[in-house]
Amino acid sequence: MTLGIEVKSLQLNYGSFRAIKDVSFTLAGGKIYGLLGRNGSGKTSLLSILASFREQTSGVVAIGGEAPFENAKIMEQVCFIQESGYMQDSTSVADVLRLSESCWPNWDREYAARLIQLYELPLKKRLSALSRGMKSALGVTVGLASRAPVTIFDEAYLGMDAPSRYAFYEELLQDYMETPRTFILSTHLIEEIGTLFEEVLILDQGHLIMHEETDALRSRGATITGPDEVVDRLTEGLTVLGEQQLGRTKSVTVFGELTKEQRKLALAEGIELGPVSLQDLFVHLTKRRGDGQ
Amino acid sequence: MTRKRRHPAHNVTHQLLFTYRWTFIVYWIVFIAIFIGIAVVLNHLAPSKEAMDSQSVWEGAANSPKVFLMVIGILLTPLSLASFVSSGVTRKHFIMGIGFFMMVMSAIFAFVMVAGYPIEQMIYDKNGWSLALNNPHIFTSSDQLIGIFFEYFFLFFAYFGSGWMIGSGFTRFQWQIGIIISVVALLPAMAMEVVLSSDWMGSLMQSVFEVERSPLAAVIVLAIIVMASIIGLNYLLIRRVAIKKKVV
Repeated sequence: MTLGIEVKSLQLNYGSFRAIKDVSFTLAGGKIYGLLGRNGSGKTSLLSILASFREQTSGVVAIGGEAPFENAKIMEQVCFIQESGYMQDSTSVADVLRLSESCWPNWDREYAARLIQLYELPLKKRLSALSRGMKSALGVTVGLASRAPVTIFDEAYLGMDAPSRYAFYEELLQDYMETPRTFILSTHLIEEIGTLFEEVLILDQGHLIMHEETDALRSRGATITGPDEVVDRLTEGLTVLGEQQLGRTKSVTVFGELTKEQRKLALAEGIELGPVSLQDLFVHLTKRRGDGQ
Repeated sequence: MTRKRRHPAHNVTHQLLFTYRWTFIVYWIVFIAIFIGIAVVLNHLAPSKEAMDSQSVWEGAANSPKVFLMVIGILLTPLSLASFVSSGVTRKHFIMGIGFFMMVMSAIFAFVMVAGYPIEQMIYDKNGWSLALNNPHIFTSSDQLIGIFFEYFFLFFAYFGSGWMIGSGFTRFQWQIGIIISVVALLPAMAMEVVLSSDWMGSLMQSVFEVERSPLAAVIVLAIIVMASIIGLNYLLIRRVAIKKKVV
């Protein structure tokens, strides 16, 4: 079972501060979405509304065609995992799993047990006694084993070490292939997880500034690598996102599609053209004057 | 893969009973141990018949569970709401689940109080002491077990509910408004004592204002209305409350 999400003219105010400003998008069910944004861009606020953790100030949100807030049918289909979690610190790992099993209708006990083993989580330990990485691993376990048709991870894996994070990416992808559902992953670790995204949404200062398929987004720029003088000639007038040089070989990342002529020239000069990284694009799209970036 | 599950409200009740089981068990062990201790001391000192006349120790003991339940009530929303909502449970089902939980716990506590009176009567009879109740109640002697049960059930629920309102008030609002709500939240407990004409408020109503006790059927109906009001007020407080991010 997969559920689509529709958001129209969404606004969220915290007192006089507007955290989300007129955001609209549609997400088809059964895909992996990346939600990117700088700190304070409104990512967690947006995801909190989708998960019914808070109600929007105005606008419409529909999951599977229904408003999610206080809608029992929808709320039990949307699992929102944050790094800090929401369980009491005095609760044991076993109690968290027990509560999760009793609440999530599609809970997969065997899968949870396998993940607990994978992350070597101690069932009897209280949450207060767990390391940050173990807390993250528990969150990831609950999110994956919930098998909720809409599963959202909001930086839930930040505390995990690199091997655990890669194990999570692998598990997520494998689970997604076996039981397709809608995943939304909010992250700052774009280089690591970017390859999983089918579509990317970028929030900046409460506005949705980009929502595109990942491949289309990456084709909005290019990495041009070759002899420095040719590369300089080719990138003249283009928006340069970053450059690296080793000896006479230069690699420049540019924003904006290359024209047919530029591509022809690059080919003729033996220049290597590649897609731009999501992270470079993200930095370019969200940088502000005064950032020094 | 979909399993047969409990209703979400029933599940909340079940989970809360599981979570607080040891808290309640330990409380009653300590409570009963203290009273056994008092009984042993009394037996050892063997006070005169006059000294023990008209003093029900058990009757005064009811204050402790009332305050204990109020404290547990204060913890309910701040400690549990986020856990359940983040597990896909609606606030409405959480409130219903707490309502059932409070009923179950109030009934269990009331049963213990019911059991205590005949035991106390037996001890007093064995020692030749006379036993009289000091405060007004809906029961007039310690053998009216149904009356004892209902009075304590309603009182415990009301104190539990007042505590719940205090916790909900602090969850919903900033501390300044939370403090104001804490004062207002005592009203349901006081209202229940007025309705039942029992304990401190009952004494006040009968001795100062000379208010006559309503017929038992009316008392029960009014007590149920107070219980419903407690749940309704908590619903108003937390039906749309935001779940805030926990600091790591």
